[in-house]
Amino acid sequence: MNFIIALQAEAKPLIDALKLKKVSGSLPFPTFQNDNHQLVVSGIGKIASAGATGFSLGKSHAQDHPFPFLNIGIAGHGSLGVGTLFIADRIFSENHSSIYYPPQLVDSEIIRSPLQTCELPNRDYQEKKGYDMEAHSFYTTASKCVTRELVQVIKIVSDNLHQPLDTFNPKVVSKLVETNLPTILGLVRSLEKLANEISPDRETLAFRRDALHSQNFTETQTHLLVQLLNHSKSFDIEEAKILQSLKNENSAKSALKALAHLIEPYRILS
Amino acid sequence: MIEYIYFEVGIEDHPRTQEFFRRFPKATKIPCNHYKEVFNPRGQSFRLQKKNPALILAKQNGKKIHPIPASYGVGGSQNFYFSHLLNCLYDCRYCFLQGMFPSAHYVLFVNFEDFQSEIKKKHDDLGDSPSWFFSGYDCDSLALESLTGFAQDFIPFFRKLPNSWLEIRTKSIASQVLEKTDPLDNAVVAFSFTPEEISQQLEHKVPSVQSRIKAMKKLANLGWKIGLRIDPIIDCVDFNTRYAKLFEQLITALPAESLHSVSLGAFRMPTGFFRSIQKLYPKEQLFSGKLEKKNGNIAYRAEIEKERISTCQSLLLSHIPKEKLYLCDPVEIK
Repeated sequence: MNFIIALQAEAKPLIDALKLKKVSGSLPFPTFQNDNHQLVVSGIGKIASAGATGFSLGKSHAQDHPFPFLNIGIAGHGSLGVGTLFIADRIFSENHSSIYYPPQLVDSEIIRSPLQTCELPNRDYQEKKGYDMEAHSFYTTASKCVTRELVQVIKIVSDNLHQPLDTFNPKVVSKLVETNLPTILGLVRSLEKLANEISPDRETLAFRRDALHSQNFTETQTHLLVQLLNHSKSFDIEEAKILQSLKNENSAKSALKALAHLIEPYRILS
Repeated sequence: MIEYIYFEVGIEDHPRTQEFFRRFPKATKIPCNHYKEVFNPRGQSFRLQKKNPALILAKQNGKKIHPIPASYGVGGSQNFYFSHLLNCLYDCRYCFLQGMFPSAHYVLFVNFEDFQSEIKKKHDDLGDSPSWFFSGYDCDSLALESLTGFAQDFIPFFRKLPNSWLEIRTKSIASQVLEKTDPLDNAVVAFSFTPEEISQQLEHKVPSVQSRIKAMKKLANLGWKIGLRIDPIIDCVDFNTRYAKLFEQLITALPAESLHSVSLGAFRMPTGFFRSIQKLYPKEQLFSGKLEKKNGNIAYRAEIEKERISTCQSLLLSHIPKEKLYLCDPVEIK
């Protein structure tokens, strides 16, 4: 799971709850992580958010495993009360034609709301929607690499018509997030579960690694090998038998041929 | 249960849209400018969305009636298909929709009246020449009837066009809408089948073969013409025994006069769609079978395909006259 969060104060409750450690070294963005989570503090605004999301994507190996991406932060809102958590079901920006509709597959009680990403802090709460400064560019970047069901934006209302931005006390930012932490962590778990449904399991990945190391496969041969390994999995052919057949050969080409030959008799639906 | 309804702002006031809003008051309603904003973007997971698809209400502004491939008819000389709905309640692993559409959300075009105008115009243009309209290409015609009201709306419409035939293709047993009305002389209710063992493996969420036979028999006894669609034919162990049993079950369930046609089609899929679906379900046995690429499609190796079709033809011709048997040849993809 990857978190992209604008402010350190917004991130702190999650860093504490998930026991994330700061990554040392010269990094473009403050980064915290444990074995399963990575949190990047982006700074305020669209450019910072897009940059941090790209940075996080680069570190997350999203190709192998579809890690969810979650943007969390505070936002203004035209109708919801201060402290209310909402999930963005429509994300748009005043300067972009693209509109995002994050597919909502997680069964949750979190309120749904449209969200407009603004260039400057919003002080006009006319419409029933949220106002932030990062979500649109976050979504633009993350959805290029991660399936959209796993890219979500949740916000906590910090200001509205009755308690406008000018009266907002920045010291309560962490408190706003902390109060909603149980719900946020529930969503995190649900998104991780969803991601696992479309991820290859650890055993499959380990088996694939072993198979790939059995010979010097070219890129094209690797593609073919992965396809054959999937076929072998579909027919539950013993892994040891597969690896042995690959290792017995003295070239990548003949190993692929041997594997195809091994699978051939199984190739019929039971 | 529909939890999310996306709707094009342009059809918010359409009576059918308003009816959905009334029927699903708790659904989250999300406006969009055009359904493609929600449905078309790349980077969506058909597999994940299939767990809980949303409903998208839209207006079909483009062409509504399309010609079907030349070999896909069942006796008519003018053949068209139309899609009031994109996507299906069921989750058949061999279905090309999973590879064709980027999203598993249901898109319902609410402007039935525009579809009907175009069908009527085609009917008038073709004069005395009988024409066929196939409704189940991009969806199951009946499975979501309680949601869409498609058959309830189109059957009375086709009743006024005796020279135009409607094929209602389905795997559904939700046939109450047909049971409640007089059979339509110019309609065929076409049920798709694979043998029970295959159905259980590949046709997820689909009613059992037995319950479909029961529904089909009921409609036949009420006077509806029935079509049998053995498409796709799936290579499997005990192929001959399984298909022979299926055909025996189907034919004995139907009064001979109610059987309109039987069509056969081997498993085939455009290569691009196949690759997409294979990524969704990399460990699916169906996609690891004895397949090959030919004419832009992925299909069974030629000798297997020929043998399986030939077996099905022989088995069927022992039950039905050859005039009722049709073969759907794969379409070359250029």
